[in-house]
Amino acid sequence: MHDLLLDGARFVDLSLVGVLFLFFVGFVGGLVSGFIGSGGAFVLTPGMMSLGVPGPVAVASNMCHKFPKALVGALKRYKYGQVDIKLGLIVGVSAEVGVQIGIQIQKLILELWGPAGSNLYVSLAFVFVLVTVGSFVMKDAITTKRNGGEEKVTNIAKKLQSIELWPMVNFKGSNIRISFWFTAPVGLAAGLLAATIAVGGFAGVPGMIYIIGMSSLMASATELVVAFVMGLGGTLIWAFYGMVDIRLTLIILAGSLFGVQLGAIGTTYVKDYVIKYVMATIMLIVAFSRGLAIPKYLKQLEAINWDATLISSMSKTSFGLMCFALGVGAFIILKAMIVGRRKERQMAMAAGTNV
Amino acid sequence: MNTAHDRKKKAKINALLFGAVSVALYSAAFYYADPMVELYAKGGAYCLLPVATVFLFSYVHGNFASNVWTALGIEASSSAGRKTKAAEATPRKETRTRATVNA
Repeated sequence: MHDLLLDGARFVDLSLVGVLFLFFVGFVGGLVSGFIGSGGAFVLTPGMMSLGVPGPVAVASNMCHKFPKALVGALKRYKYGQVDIKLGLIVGVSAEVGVQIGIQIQKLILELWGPAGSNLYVSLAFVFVLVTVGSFVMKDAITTKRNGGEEKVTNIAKKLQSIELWPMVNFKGSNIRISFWFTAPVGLAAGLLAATIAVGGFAGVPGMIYIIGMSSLMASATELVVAFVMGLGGTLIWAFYGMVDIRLTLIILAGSLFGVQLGAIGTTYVKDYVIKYVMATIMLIVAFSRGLAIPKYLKQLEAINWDATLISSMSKTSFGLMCFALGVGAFIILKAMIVGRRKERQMAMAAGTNV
Repeated sequence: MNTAHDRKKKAKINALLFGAVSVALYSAAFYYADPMVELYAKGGAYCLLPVATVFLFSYVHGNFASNVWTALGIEASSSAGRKTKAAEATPRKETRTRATVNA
């Protein structure tokens, strides 16, 4: 890292196309983030790297836009009564510990197998976690829709809430009383995933729903508080090493602050399970896309000997699919929002009131 | 009464005000982009600079974005917040006997 610090060429020249790309991805990422509590980072970091930004600067600049975006989204959703600040802060602090553990694992893998081994580990974690959790969330979303759209607290969450293990914590916002020791693993998992694939929410939100027993609406909003805590801590560390390119951060922030508020507004028009649908859809497409990137790292490790053109086109398809995942998520959110608004207007007109 | 029309009108004024400040901030940031990037990349105690900058931008630009959506008529559902209110515990009736003094 120190070598990179001394390298004056780590901050790239920005083209108009690059600026527009970052603004647009920032907007779509913000939209998804405001709705499901996380997302966007998996396109923004490789997107910045494709513009020539070095990896650490891309990660740092991305993280620096993440926490103010999460703050604005959390404030917006707090107004709608969807945020449990206390739970968000407790899970957020546990997540910080998870991030530190995740960094140590990354360092160890880097020492043992080099950059290609590290990339392979990240891709495998992407595929394994997202396929497992994504399939489970998707199955649950389908079941919930079939049962009339009403979410039920899982049996495991009910069981955990009934265990009296000191210290017990009362969460007034979500009306839950649970031991700290059952919230801590959720935070740790979110932090570990954030340090590995940069999207901790893919573990944090399902963890808060299925283990702690929150509704998807509350969990996705509370994840924004977790993202704020993790993002602020991470930014301070990256900025300490001088890795933040403030121009990149401000461009993404310009788009994402529009997106995150629209996403937050969108949550008020949909049933809770739609959040699960969007999250699971994105997770499964992203998992497939990362799967396509795996042969590249296997070739670098000389584990396979595939044609270079084939591997290159697989990598390009992989990035395209990640953009597609974000686009699909945004499409479902906007469509659900438009339908919801139309229904509400029709009801208001029928009742003769001005909304 | 705070009608949608009133809210839109107020949001338009706020959007213009915050928009102007946001444009000024972004123009300044990109006009002085090179020295800013150099300064922020010094690391150490300078790590507070990017954090402070994004807080400032998120306040100004965040308010601008919020007011733009409201001015365009894109607002939260009128049912927003109802769920939480319903989930709140109902106040318990005082059933205990209380000592009183009859004067």
